[in-house]
Amino acid sequence: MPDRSLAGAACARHDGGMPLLDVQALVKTYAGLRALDGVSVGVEQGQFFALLGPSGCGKTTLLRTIAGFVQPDSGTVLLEGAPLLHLPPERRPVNTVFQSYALFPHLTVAENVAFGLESLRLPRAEVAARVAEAVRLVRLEGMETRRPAALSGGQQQRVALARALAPRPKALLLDEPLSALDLVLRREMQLELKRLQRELGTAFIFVTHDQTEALGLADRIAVMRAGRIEQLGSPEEVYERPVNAYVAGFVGEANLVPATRVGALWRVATGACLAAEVGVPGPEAVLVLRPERASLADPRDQPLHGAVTLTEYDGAGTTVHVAGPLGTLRVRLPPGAARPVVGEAVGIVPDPGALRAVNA
Amino acid sequence: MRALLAAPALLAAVLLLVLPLVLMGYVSTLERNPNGGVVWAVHSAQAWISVLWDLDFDGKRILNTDSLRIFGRSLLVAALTTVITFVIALPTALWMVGQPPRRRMALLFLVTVPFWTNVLVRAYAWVLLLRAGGLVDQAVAPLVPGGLGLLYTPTAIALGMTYAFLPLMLLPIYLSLEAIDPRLIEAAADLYAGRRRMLLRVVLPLARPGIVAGMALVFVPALGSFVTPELLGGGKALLIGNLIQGQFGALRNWPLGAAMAIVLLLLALAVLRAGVRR
Amino acid sequence: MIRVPGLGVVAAAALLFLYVPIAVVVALSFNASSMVTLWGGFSVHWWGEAARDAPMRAALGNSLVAALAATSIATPLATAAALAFPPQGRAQGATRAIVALPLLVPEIVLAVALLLGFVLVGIPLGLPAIAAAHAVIALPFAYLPVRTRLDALDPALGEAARDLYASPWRSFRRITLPLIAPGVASGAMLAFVVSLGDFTIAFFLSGPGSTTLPVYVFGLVRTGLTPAVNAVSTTLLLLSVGLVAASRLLSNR
Repeated sequence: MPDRSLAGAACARHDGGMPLLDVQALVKTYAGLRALDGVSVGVEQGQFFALLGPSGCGKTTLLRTIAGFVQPDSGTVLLEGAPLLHLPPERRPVNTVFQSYALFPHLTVAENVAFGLESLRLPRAEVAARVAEAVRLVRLEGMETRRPAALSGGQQQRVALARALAPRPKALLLDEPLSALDLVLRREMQLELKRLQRELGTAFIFVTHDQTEALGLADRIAVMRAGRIEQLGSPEEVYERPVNAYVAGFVGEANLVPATRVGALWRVATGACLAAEVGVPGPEAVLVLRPERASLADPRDQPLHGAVTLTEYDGAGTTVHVAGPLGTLRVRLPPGAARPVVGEAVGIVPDPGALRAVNA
Repeated sequence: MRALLAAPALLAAVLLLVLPLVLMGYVSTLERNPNGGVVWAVHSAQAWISVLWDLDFDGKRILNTDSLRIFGRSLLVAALTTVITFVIALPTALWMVGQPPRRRMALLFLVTVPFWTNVLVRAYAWVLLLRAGGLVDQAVAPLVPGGLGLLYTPTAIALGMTYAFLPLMLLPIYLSLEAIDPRLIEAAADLYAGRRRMLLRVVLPLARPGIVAGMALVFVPALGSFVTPELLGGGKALLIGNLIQGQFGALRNWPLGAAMAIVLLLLALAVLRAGVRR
Repeated sequence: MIRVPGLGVVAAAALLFLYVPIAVVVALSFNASSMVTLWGGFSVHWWGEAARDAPMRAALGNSLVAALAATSIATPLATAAALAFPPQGRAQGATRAIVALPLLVPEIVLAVALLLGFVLVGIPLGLPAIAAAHAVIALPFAYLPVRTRLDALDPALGEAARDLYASPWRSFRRITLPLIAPGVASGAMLAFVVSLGDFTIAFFLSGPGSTTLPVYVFGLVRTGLTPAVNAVSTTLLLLSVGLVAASRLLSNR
């Protein structure tokens, strides 16, 4: 059962050696569909780990397998080296923040937070102390006797966090916890989660379909598709060195242009040849260009060119849509840059090193 | 393991519902014991024949017009009750749905109360109203000095049945009307639908499940009703229910009663099935 | 919704139609006159008469005993059946259909079948037989409110309890049961009312000394009306209405 002190555990991060959670070759099939198709991943102590992917990619199934609500067809899960899968949910020292929060409507805030501690049969005084600590941690002092129905969405979210953190789990599992909140509240809770995670040093495993959220919060991201992990890495790695077109397109905005290797260069459909960073072994690739890593120029002599069809100004910059022989490409101009006129012919100049050739 | 929790309830339903019905089917094929009960293991088709045929004085088999008439009358009364309750319930439900939410809740409760009131009390109330010198007669005394003498007439049965089953028609219709998304009505109005068109093309088709349910919920028990005709019809205008009761009471013909009950059950199931099918 | 002129008039007439007869029974129970339908001033005389009528008191007692027994059988059975399977799925659908069977069978058919069944198997007629039969007809009424509650529950609540180290039993005891309790109570009250309201089955299954109140009143109405019948009917009415009102309050909570 979990035992580390809630507030003073930030030091418990040991590098190297055994990972906190070790997931190996998980397979789960629902009615012939592979929700998990051989997933292997490790989560370190104190890590903020994001599972990122569209709905139906298997990220929630993976989380629920760790929590104990899904029995996989094959594979293993080790927690601190000990097998986890044979244990029922109530014997696993991990806790979940549910998407719907799943607060017990008939119990007060304090009773909700105390629920896990009472299940563990902790002494009454300890339960009271830990409830107070958890409530303080999520800044809900004074709300202890309220029922969930009398709380705002953000407050309910905090109760769910406090309830899951109070038993001091070895890992906190969060299933799209912010998806029910509006944008402002969501932003606030993101910061709150980051703060909590830093303060406690508990490993957070966070399921989300929002790439901004994953990039901003996580130390490590697993990008999933169709029951597989496509890429595992730091936010910078995933964004700047995507392993394939899917990851490039799902994480952030990207222009994707199919290309073939010609010597040291890459030839696109118009016949033009471009230089690119190579992230692919074979001769067939997709060139990735982030819109903010290119600028507009005179169309003459530019292999990438076209006519402006749309400009979108959003305060922090302007996105220009350029329709050309390679389809519509987007270029992000910094604030203050001159906005081109719709219909104007422009060339697109990638920044040095900005083009990257990856697997289709 | 958890599935076992359903076992006691299912067992009760089988022991006290399915088995007795099956046994009743078996009894209908047995020889009658004139002193009541049946003669075990002596089979006879007599009960089923007696449902429709009778023996005349010469021992010839003739069609039993009495029982035919009673079956016909029961179907007619049940159909009439269904139609009358529908005609009252539809506008009432439409009006209720148009009320503000708080009042709707109160009205809903008001129309359920009679449903939960004892059938017998409800029939008895009409005895008080309709009997000779009763409240209706007192009310019309200036116009009809002798009173109307409504009790123990088909009118009394119709009134009592309508009264007994109106809530059963009203509730499902109201619930299905309430479930209609008001935006659909607005959309229809936006598309220039008049009231008539709105009612016929939008509201009624959408409320159809409730209407069908209401009709089934009224027709089936109306067909088998027993207390209301007994108290308000005074034995003059017998329905199937009273006929069946008679076989188990004074007439002591259990196989025939069982056969008639099965006919009634099949009629009811056929109606329900037709309702579900549509 | 849709506005049609004249709806209000029909609705008012319908409500009057529903309530005048009931009101008449209640009002006449306070009639001083010994003529059943002739108003002779206000009096509680006939309530006193009804209270002193020993067979009537016995019948009321029988009704209450049968209803209590039927309720205590039907409620746990129905609750267990509702809990047996997850909300969606065939098993729950089948259970619901079987539990609802008594609603499909006309009352008199069930009454006759049970009469035959009990007599031919050799089970004596009387209060226990009535209570058992009432338990079956009350089953769907006890089942549905519980099922409605369960359907409305977030399935993640049970998972959350397990996730927070609760055993299945603790999860049921502390989370599921308190949350469905209003449904159970509401169902129990409806079961009680169904038993109390039944005439037909009690009429066929009553044995010596097991006359329930509706059956007793039936006899009185057929043999000779006394104003005391109004008081007894009002008692039945108030019992049912009070229970249904309480049940509604609970299920709306």
